[in-house]
Amino acid sequence: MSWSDVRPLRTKVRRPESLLSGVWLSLLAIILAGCQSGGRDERGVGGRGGSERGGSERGGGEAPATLVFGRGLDSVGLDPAHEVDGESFKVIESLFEGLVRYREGSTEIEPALATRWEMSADGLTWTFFLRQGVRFHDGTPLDAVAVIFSFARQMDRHPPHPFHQVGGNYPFWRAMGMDDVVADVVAADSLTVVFSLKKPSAPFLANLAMPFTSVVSPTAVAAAPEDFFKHPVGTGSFQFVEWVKDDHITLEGFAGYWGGKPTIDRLIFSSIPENSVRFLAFTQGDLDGMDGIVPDDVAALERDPRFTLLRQPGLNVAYVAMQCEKPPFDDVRVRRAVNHAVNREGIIHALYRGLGSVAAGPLPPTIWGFNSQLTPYPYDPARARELLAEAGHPNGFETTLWTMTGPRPYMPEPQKVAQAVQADLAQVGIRARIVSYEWGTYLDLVQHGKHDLCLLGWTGDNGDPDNFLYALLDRDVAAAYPSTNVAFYKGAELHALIMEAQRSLDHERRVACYVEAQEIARRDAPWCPLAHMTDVIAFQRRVRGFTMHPTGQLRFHGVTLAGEGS
Amino acid sequence: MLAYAGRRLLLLVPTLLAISVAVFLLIHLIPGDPAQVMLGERATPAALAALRAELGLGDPLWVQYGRFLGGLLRGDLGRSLKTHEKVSQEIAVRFPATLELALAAMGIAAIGGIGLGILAASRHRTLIDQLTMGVAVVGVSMPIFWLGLMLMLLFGVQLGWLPIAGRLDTGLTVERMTGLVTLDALLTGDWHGYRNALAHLALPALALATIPMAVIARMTRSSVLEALRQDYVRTARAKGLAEPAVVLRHAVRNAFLPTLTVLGLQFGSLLGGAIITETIFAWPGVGRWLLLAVHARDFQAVQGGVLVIATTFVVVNLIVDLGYSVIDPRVRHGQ
Repeated sequence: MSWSDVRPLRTKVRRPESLLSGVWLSLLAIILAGCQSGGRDERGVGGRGGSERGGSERGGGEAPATLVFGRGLDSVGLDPAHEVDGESFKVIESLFEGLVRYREGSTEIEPALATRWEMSADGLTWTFFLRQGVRFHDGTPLDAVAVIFSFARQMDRHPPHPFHQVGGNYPFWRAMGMDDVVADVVAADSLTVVFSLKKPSAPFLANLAMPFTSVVSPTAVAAAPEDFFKHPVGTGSFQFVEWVKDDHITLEGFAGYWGGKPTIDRLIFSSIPENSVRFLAFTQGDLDGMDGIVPDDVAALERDPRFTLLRQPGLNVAYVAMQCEKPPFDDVRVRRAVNHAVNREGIIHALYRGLGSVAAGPLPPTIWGFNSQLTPYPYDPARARELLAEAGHPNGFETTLWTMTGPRPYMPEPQKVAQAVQADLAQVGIRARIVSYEWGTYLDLVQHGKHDLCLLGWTGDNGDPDNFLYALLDRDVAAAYPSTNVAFYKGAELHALIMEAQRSLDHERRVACYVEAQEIARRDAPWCPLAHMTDVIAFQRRVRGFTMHPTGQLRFHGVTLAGEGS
Repeated sequence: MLAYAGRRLLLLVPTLLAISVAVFLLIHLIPGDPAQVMLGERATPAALAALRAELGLGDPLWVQYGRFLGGLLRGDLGRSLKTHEKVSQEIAVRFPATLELALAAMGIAAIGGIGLGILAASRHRTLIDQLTMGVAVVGVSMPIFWLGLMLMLLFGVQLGWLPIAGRLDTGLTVERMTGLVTLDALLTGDWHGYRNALAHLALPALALATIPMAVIARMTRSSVLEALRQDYVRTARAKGLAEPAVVLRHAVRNAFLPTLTVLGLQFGSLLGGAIITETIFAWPGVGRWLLLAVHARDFQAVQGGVLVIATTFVVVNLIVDLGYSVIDPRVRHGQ
């Protein structure tokens, strides 16, 4: 007998395949059970249309009017004095207010928590009269003590405020140079606050409209000093409910708001980092509004009757800076040649996909003081070559063009923009080699003047032209490294105008200074200004009453949702 | 075995210490610092200097490391330079999300991978073998980014069966007990929440499972094949056992060790490496947080985060190693 003669016994065993398919089937069943009702159609809130929301509400009564706004990254923190990133401010601006705020649709200032203010003749004393009857979300009344608390904790003084350096570092207070301007802040009475300044500063009022000078509840900060950034309490029209990190932040309408309870009951900021996924979620109806829209999606949204697309030039500028201390860019003719050589329209069309407007100078059109008479240097390569020849470079020259690798708020594709500029310059004989670094390194190097030409930009902070011109083109700023004036332009005339406008408290005079300043900036051409990037926001049709603000602030107080209670 | 376990646990300490030094040096070697990142274009010299001083960045490296180590010994991972939240808190808040995703993905990968591997091995050199290994190659080669988006488009948009982002529908909450939303919903009897959470978990887990599944499938296949060549299998067949019993009761059990190793390694890496999946599906996990921390040069967060992930990885593999002695008598009896 051999092995081949042995026949195997057939035993009843479950075949592995059927066992496995059983497992697969159960998995599938579980998933399908999940999608049955846990999936798309039984949405809690923020779904498609009012009828479904009403239907899914348990326990009777009106469903809360909820607006879900989708953005990319989550906020970093919600303490207005500590944060620097836009995502934090988006939420902070609904929770907190300052003494003043920007007018609707403009960067001019109007009363908020202060009903009126006075300044002394020498501009060194500012007195603010607070609004009566305002309360914080936790019921604490607004008074001079709360205002002083909000400012004093940020000041670098001796002895320091008990809450100084608690929970953060006040980067904006520093960056806006507040310690150089504000000497002290005291209460004249319970509803009057007096600031004494070290020097007259017109932009000081504009700084008071920025989030970092918002008034916070001293009671709440004292109760949780290290954790106030996640338990924010302000006087804004919405109050804080919850924050699920990296997922969403929920606010609800503050019934006791001095300007009246907002129509929206719940405001949810949802974080979906991937642009295309956020777009999908929006078009599906999971989001009521979104920002960070990719240029390619703009056209699709515009055509679709279900959505409203809003756009406006942002408070920003993108430019090519020329290192005025390094030849040949110390010669104004060469700088003007560069301005003639670069095809701005082409760049905006191709690389901003139309989401930009040509920049004639450093100031964006939405800011007061903008010189609308100015036009950029026309695209004229022939003229550029002429100017180069005049300046002693008939055959052009070699140079470097620096760029960052990642997108900036004013420039979506810097490396491609660099390539386009490089090509334009090559047309007139300027052979530029591209040098690129990742953002942190890049900024460090160009602020130390290592470049010949570099791409950079600026997003405005306080809606005051000084914020652009001083930081970017003033010679005092260029006197030391690192400098935000990366053109290292040290024109005396421009400097004089900037200084005069900084110290003058006469609005008309300031406007005149800035108008002239923009002409000088064009004449001396330390930059080739490129574009102002357009801000775009999209909403579902049912969201009514939202208007964009030049500073990018999201104002939800007056917003209504159509189809409510129907 | 206790001695073995004890020795392995002691070895953890120098391992983790070495990791912490390496991470510390690496993150400080990258140019740029958090002050620069925080202030962006508006970094004036004074502001930068002051911020740097406050963040403790002015001190020499060994002082900064010493501070970190000191905190570590007290169980304090420090505070995130970007958010001022305690690093341990930042991780604790996000870790359950990553754990839930990793467990779900491992479940799918293990069942699918082991199943496919056994199938391929038992049908060696047939079409089924080629097909299953072909599927494995495709699985390991597909970029998760693309796969995730395709799954979203198909199941989320076209078919409308499953949601595309987040862990729950906006506005829906499940009472938090463990932080794993599906588990919490079950524990609190929230059937609606459970189904919703499961639906949200499905696509990211599936996308994340493809690579581990492929690796596990291949590993299982080759080790089962190896086992099938052994004499005891020939004996089992000679005894007259049906093929499925031979494969499952004899070959697979003996071939399981390498698969177990791979399972451990894959799970460990999923816990810290699901960055792309977390980003696409807006899943609030640790991987994504850590990547952003690196971008922001948030030294404290990166040091703490990497250390926690490395510790988890090492511990998981330690458990797997100790598991050998439970499963395999040869290891247990010190062969």
